[in-house]
Amino acid sequence: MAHDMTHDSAHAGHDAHYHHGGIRHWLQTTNHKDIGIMYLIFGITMLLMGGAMILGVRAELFVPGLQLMQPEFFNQLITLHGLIMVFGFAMPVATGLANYMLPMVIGAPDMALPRLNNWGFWILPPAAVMLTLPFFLGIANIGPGAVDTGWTMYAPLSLQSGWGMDFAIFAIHMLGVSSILGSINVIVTIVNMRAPGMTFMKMPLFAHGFLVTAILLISIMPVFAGGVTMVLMDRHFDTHFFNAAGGGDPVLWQHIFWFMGHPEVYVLLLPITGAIPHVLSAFSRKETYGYKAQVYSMWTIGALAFVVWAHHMFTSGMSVNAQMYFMYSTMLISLPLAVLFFCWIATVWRGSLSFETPMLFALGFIILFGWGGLTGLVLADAAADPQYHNAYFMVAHFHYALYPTTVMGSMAAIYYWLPKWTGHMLDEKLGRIHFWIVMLGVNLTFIPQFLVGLSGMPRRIPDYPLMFAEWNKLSTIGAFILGLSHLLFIYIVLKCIREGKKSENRSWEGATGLEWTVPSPAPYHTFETQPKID
Amino acid sequence: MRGLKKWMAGAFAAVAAQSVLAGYTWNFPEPVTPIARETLHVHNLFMIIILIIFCGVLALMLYSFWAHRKSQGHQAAGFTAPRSRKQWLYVLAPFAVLLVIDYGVFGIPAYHAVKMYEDSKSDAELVVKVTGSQWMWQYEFPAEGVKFTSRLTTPRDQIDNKEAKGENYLLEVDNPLVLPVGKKVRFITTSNDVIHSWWVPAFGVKRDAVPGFLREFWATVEKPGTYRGQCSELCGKEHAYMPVVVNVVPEEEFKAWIASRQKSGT
Amino acid sequence: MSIESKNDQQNARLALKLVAMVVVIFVITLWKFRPI
Repeated sequence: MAHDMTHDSAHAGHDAHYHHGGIRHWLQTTNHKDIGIMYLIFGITMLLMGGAMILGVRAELFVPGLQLMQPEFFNQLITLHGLIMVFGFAMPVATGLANYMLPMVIGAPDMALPRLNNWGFWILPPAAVMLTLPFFLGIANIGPGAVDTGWTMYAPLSLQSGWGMDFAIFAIHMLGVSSILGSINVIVTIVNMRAPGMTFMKMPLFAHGFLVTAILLISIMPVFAGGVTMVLMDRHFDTHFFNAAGGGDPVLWQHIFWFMGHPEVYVLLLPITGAIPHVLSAFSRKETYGYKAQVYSMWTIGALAFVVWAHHMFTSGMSVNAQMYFMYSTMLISLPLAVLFFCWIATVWRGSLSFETPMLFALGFIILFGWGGLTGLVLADAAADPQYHNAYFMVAHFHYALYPTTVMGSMAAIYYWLPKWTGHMLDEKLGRIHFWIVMLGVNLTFIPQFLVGLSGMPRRIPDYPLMFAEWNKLSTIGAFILGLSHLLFIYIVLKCIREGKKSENRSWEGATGLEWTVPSPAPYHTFETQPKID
Repeated sequence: MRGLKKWMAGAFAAVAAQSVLAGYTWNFPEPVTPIARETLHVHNLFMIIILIIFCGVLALMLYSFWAHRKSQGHQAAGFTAPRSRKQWLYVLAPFAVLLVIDYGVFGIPAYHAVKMYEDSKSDAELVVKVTGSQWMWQYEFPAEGVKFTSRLTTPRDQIDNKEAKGENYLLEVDNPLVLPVGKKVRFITTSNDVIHSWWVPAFGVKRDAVPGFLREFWATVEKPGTYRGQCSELCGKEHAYMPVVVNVVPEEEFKAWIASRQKSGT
Repeated sequence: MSIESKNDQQNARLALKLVAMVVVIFVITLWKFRPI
């Protein structure tokens, strides 16, 4: 990657406008900032699509009875909601943040493998089409509709679905390859390209979060790919991986899926645990508390993530010893997680606090994700879990874990770095309004779900007995409020791109890190000469 | 003061009663088996503990947001790790407490609860085979030679909003399972097609019905009554429409019911 | 060779090692769980 001075000056005039350029530019760009932007735009678009789908679900669940759709359609909506949110929104947005910011925070000129980076992104739009095309065709009465088994795709139900399932399998292969390529890029970048003098234990927590995440991903995605390949083979090539009559076992699918599925939730969490300390430190004007403790905790969480998967399977008929093991090992994860919470709160404690929008979202994440984590502890009890499993208590638990993390956490990061990307400060008044609508929306949507789950309502049903009606009505209202808040988010982002108070290099008074030593908006190429770290 | 407290307690009870009637139920139903009782107790304990932890930490954080504001002139401290021995104690104490809560307060009762939950074979007095299929349950008493299907009876018109919904909307079947009160029943589950899951919240038990395999669990229902639950594993388009209804009756009535089923040949 | 291309070589080597690891995991998964 030769970056000599003539090359620089040719670009100097383009620095403020690098995001323009025709389709060919975007198809071919190997610049980490461009690719980061594409991942973010793709991810937020998927957030809206997955969100629209679940609003369809919540609209149906507003009152008992079937008002808007038949169960076959409902099952597609809930399945696509899950798959799109995990693989279409949360992971691409995290990858977008990594792409844009990782080279900058470690003082590198770009990612290690820029062309691979481009390929990794461009797999995503076709994958999204593969996943959702059967859905739209189904609406037009062509074909059997999209995959409809829930995002967990349990066998043998998955063997019964129409070709929407096969499209989903191919989409998952593509999404997996994209993740793997992105993760390889992250690992090589962090291992090989830190600025001289930046040892592992000096690099920002943002980098540590992504390193652990990337290692998790390259370990679990091939296993998941293996699993969906088995489904494909059972469906079309007369194998019987999951068919008892042929010597197979439906529960084998569950083990393979959750071997991926549990670490996957830490894949969703760890990038945020990497980014949040940056935000907290900046707006507390105080150095991050417990850097080493947070690093060790992230690695511990990453390691433990691999050995607790069957707590998702307590009702499947496991042996007593297996239940005991998975129960106690699951509880263990609460310890490194508690370390992280402690360090976040200790960073804020006795700081000099201000509450700009990124800080609001970071603090909201800590509080709401904390509740999500605590309710997970309750679920770990293998004897009590049957009362929660596959009912709405569980749905509320994981949404308190996932929404504050993947949505609020990434919004905190996006709001934090937007001035660096755009050169403008945010409209803080609108940002504050956005935050409070989210707080209202999340709690109004999901607290009723805890309660209706405890009352006995199972999940994945389009229609329900009368005693669940009141909580469902409230939850639907909350969901629509939450849904609308995302439109406000997009407006705020677009406004910040267009206009706003000009940002300094150091957009936020208390912000520290290499990215704040370059101008805002950041030049197209940064750190072409790597800084020396002492 | 005492009068006020009494009034508040009365008002709270009235509101709570009203909410229950209005369908704002917010906890597990009344437990009628040893497992359900144990689980309800554990759940209530867990929820209180985590609510205390949550509220405590939240209060600490809110205090910090108020007391440590830059706008009120608070200067940032410089610490990034514990330094003195006292500080190390501060830091390690919450983790010690968490360990005790996890493995002591939760972990020890949980061990016994799991052992109890899985003890389906000892002293079972009756065996019921439960077979899930798309989209109904089949019940069989192998020793008594009784076998029948149990299907939802809610009319389609109610589901399609053409008719007013009955009280047991989606929770009513043609042939409920009948069990004798006070006897330990061993359930064996399986499936004819995809994975289903049998759940009665009042019994505190749920078990997957896996095709090609047998799973088991047990329940001793201590109180007669009609108990309802639903399939709890997505099994296709009518997953919401295959409820579980169990009539628990005195032993004499159960024997009579078995006899009549044997006579009618199902 | 220049410093840049040496870095590129190091990057590529590490990347290929990781790809190999991924492929191995995939193959092991399918092989280990093959029905008898």
